[in-house]
Amino acid sequence: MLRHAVKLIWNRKRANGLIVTELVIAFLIVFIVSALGAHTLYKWRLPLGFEWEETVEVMMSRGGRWTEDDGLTLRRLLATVRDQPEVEWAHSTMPLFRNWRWTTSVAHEGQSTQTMLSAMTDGAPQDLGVELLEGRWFDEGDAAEGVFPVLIDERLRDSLFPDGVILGANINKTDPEDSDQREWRVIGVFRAFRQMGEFTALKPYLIGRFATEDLEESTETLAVRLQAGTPIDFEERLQRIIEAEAPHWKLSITPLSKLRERQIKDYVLPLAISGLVAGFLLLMVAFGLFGVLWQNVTRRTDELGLRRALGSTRRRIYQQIVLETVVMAGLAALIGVVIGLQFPLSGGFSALDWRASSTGLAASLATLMTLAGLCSLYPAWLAAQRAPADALHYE
Amino acid sequence: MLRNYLVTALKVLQRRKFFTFVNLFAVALTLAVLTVVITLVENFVRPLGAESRSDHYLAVSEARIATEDGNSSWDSRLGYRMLERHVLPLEEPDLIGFFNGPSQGTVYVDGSKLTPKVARTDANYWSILDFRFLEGRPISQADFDEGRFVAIINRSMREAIFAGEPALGQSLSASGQRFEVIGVVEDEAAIRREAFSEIWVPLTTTPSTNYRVEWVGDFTALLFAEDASRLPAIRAELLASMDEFVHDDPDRYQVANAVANSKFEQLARMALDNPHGRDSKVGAFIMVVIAVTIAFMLLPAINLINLNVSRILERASEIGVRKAFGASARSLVGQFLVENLVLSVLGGIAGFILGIGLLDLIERSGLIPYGDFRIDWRVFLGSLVAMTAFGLISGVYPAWKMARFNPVRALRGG
Amino acid sequence: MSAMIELKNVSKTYQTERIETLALDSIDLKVEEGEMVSVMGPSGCGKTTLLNLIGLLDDPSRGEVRLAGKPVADRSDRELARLRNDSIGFVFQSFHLIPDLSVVDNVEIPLLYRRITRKERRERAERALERVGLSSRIDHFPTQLSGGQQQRVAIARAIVGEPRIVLADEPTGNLDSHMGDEIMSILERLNREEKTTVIMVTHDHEMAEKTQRVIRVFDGQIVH
Repeated sequence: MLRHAVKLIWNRKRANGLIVTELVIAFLIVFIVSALGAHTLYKWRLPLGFEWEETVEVMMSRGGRWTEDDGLTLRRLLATVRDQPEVEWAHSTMPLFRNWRWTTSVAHEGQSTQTMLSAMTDGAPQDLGVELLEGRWFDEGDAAEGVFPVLIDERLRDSLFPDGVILGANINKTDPEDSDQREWRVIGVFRAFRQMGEFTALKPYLIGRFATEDLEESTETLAVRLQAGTPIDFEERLQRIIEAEAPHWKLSITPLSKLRERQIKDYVLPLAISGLVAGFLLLMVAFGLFGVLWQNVTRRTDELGLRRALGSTRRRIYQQIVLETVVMAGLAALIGVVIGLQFPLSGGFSALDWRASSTGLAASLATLMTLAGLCSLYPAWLAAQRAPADALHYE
Repeated sequence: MLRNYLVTALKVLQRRKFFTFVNLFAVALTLAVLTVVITLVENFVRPLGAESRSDHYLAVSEARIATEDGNSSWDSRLGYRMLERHVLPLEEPDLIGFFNGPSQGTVYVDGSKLTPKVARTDANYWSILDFRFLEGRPISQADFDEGRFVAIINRSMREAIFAGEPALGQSLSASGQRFEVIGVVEDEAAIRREAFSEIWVPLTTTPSTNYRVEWVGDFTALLFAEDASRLPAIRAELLASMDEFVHDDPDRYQVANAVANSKFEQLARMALDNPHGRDSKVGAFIMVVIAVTIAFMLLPAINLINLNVSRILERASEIGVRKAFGASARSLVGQFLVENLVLSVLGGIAGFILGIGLLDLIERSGLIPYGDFRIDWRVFLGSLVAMTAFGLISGVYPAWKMARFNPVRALRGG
Repeated sequence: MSAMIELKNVSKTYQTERIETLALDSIDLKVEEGEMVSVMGPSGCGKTTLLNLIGLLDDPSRGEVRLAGKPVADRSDRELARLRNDSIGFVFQSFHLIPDLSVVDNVEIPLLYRRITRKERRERAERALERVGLSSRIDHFPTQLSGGQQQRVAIARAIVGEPRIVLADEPTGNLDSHMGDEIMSILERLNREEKTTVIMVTHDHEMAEKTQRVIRVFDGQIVH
């Protein structure tokens, strides 16, 4: 039966070629859409790397260069804030959930990688809920001249230390123009830190130690965790407390939850639009497919009537048509898979990696078979119902 | 003759109801989407209402400060510091206005809490934009200079806070501050990015002056010129000013970007994700739009071509017969094109109506607050063109095929 | 007076992917105006091809076809269409009625390509249907009619334009003898009263006897 079907299909190459083409297009569209969708979903479900609930950002603008006085002010400030009963912890960090980024390139024994980074005070990474995998956190013992203790994430570790991390090793900045002459010493490895939110890709990250004992270290941002149930008006009080310590500093306090919402909104709109466009394209392909498969069957009523006259049952006709369609869908799927695999293979499209692509391919396969089956089912049923005499006299 | 074609066309379409329907639906859907998109874009790029003078001003919203090597950067809207140092001093514009936000405020009415959008503006904002005042007057320079606690609300706010009664002179408490209502304006749709808000107050009433030190923040500036041909000069002057940028802590950041855009440029930048480039790449954007539109219409067009070819093949014997009885190639093609056009026109009308329905849905859903989309002759024309394009694209090839039929082959079934 | 229809050294070859078939081989034929002629021969011998060439439905591979003394070969598509419309009425073996149109609409088709009013078109179609005895079925659709009735519709369609030549391919092939006689008498009346040249392909010897001349075709050639 299969052989017969394949023979039939081959002999009517031209007409069937069109069907296979439409099927391939359908396959690819579903593939791209579901792969991108899967990619976004996977990204969303990746660990953010830190906890943002009940935390506010304190943005501080001073005007002018950072001086040692500012350094002293910062220390006093942190102490005062930490003293508040409503405050669980306070640290100097760098902007979270904002379109702010700091990148650099680091290397170790020839392996060099681009990475994002930020600097935080002692205790900040663990208070923020960063997950430590190897090594240890910053502590006061790290306060040494000319050394910049850093924590690196898994990705950075894997690319700089392919044979396993060497705690205590130094990594170098590859930019010769860089004025930072300190030694960057790796003291630990953490899982992940997606500073800009759940919709960003998981990329190498480095957290350096912000040395409060070094009065020249400048900062713009504090992160302050409030005790659960602290009323909103505490933000105003916090502002006044800080202003009391630092009268020349201008502040703006925003809960991280609000910043995170804004980030999400920025991503969702273009995503929604692409989703709509893809949905539309799919609908069009389904229409086209349906039309083409329908024609395919109705044009063959003679043949089908003849088969009935020669002893085929309704059911067999039905099966035959569905089989033919499935074979063509299978062929289209094969072509589609070969084309689809080019994406992760070439690595050219970062969003279409292996994981997303395989999900995409699976979804396309399932959709294609279902679509082909459904779109041929109804006309097949119709064709099988006709009495042989009718079909043979069809004009 | 035309009448015949029409009659035959309708008869044929009636007999093949299912196919006709499926086809019409595909075409209608495509055109509906096109109608919606054209309308939205039109309303964005050529707004009515308060932004009716949008071809006389440029907006500066996105700003970036960064290190020289680009390794560290911060993107946001204009901060007041940037506005003050690099935008307000510009000489080319006739008027410079600005506003902050709009951000969410809190208003308590009879125990229930409203969260209207509140924008803080200067006085020139009201000269550049053309709001329709239902009551009262705009914020004046004096209001601004003296930091008077005055507010302008829109019609819906008047409805919500004052039950639709005249609001002039009434008192309003927003985000912990007390204002006197000095004006009521007509609602503006959220799609009008510069004019949209629900309550407007002078910037100088902001409780803390901390915003003044921010290089990046939440401001948008409007640069107005009586003579629209001066806009390129304004654009260039801003770019030149950005080159002179000096951060007050030059160890932290050394360069800055801000650009002045027309409505169309805003759209182009959004679409190509190019907020800070010196070149707004409008040309590239237009090409992308054309390419996308064609691609978009291609699939339904291909389906239609398919359908038409198969229709012709099905009716091969009919074509043979007609030819045998004296139909010239021309009359056959004419007949077919009429059938095709009927389908396209019906589909187009259905699509247009569907599109209008969709727009109504969008307006009602509140997806775009106060959305009130104008559908004018341009939109209709655009849809008409699309419809005709469809009819032609999907009809020409099959018709050409049909004209060349040899009657004997046709009678045999092509 | 030159012949109504003249074929000079006409050959027709059909090409399929691998095979070349010589359907007609160097045919010479003359049919005068007002003649009623039948064409006979075994199946596959080229009778239908001959009829198709005479009816301008196909072109010969070689040779010349003349209609009323004038060659057909160099005519434009427009002229050919006019000729087919004015001068020829074809009755096909498998009827080829348009299933989407009613009986009367089917019959009107040749008149569509002339400049006459809708009213007149309808009148003439109804008259043609009356002549073939189908007045009661004018609004039916082809699928609702029997074989004999469909045949008669096809004839009505062929004669509605009052052509000078009627070509009929097995006009009685699908009918019982009673019906066949009726059809025959319609064609005879046409030939007698309107002086229409009638050429019909038939298997039926009895029918062939009733015509003035029998042309026998065998293996693509005319035999005597």
